[in-house]
Amino acid sequence: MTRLILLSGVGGAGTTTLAAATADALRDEGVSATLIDGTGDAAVDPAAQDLLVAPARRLLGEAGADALVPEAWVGLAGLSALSVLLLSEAALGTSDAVVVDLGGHARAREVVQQPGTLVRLLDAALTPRLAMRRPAEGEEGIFEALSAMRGTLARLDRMLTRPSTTMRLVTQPKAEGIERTASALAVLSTLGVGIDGVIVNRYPRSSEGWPKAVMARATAALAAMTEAADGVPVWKSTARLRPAPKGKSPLGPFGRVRVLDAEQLTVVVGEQELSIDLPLTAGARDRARVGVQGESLVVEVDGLHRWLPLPPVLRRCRPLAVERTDAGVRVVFVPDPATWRGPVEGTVEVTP
Amino acid sequence: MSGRTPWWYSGDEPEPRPDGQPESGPEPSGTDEQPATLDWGALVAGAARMVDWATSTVMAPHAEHVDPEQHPDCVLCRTLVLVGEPTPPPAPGPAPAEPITWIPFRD
Repeated sequence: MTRLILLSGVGGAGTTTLAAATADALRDEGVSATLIDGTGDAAVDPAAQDLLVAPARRLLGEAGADALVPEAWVGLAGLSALSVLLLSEAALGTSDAVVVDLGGHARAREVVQQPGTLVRLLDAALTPRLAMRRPAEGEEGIFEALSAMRGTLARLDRMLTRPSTTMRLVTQPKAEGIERTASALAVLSTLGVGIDGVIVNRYPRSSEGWPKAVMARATAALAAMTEAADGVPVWKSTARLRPAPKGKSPLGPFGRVRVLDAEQLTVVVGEQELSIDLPLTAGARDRARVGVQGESLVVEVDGLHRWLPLPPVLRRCRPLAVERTDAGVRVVFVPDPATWRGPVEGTVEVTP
Repeated sequence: MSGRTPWWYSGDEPEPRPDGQPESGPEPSGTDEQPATLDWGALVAGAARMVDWATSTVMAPHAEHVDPEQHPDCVLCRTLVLVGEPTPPPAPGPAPAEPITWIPFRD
């Protein structure tokens, strides 16, 4: 199976250099690897314009706005993010491995959440009323155009969350770098991206004669990062650049952080209460807020929201409380007397 | 159709029957009697009164009826129910978004 390896890091940690080193190491092993600049510096792929700009221009045109030339949309951050994903998808068709340098963690969040956010917005826009609108003679209907767009975005979203896609976080042996990396790990895993390792780059070597205080800070930072990494490998990289743990191929995966996978959620029906367990990393669990909105469950971590479809049985319940567990959080519901029929009995598992 | 203006509209004498016999019925009482004409003023006034009546007794009360099935005594509501006209659709545009209800933590 082809592998998609994403790298994201704190500023100055050497993410771009490590991404290039990863692709080089893979090629040395005989693996055909493509390196993609996903930092936002690269030009927007025309496929991204076709995907997002064409339907958006149609919508604005139907609303009476003057049509803007496609080039006027290039500055949109979302367009650049989608461009990276479309380029990665295309490269997976011709390479065994695709390595994407996403630059900073903020860029990684933007790229990762873009397709899912747009799918959610389109789900709200694709109403039966829109489906009933008849297109002009010889023209594709706007409903059909937006449905096709949703299909592509959902495919990109699945590409990001499948097991053969992993992300590696790059940091420095400093307290602030570790804290920001721990936050990125919590947020990205909540979005469903599997993180398989953390690289502590620019780690000082004792043979280079660094003061003891510097070595002590680096050791403490490495220990803190290991604790926050939720079980995935954390390895040191020095000036010699190590894109993988010692003795391992950079292909990985080396491990997999606990991710919030929407397809693996289970509802447990107790005698009086129903509950659903949400797997979260320790960092995400301590930062998370959980809520409901309509027929969705909402998990917020560090200002980022993940919407999950509420299983049908829980739509007839009202939320009672959230409990922290070793594996994440448990959301407890009680039947809503207004909509629930019959008693709650036994304990069964219902996969949503 | 002959294309001629009918007598009841113009006041003309009735057209002779094809057999040449005069129309049966009372003869005109006199040559000095005015030909039959419509009182347009009275007709317009009557129509206006009908519109006023319909407005005050049917249209105005119906305007306040939201669910036709709840007003069987209203002729317009009954008609809407009979022809299967549903409750008027909501105003166009997306429904207002529900806010997120955050769930409290418990130990």
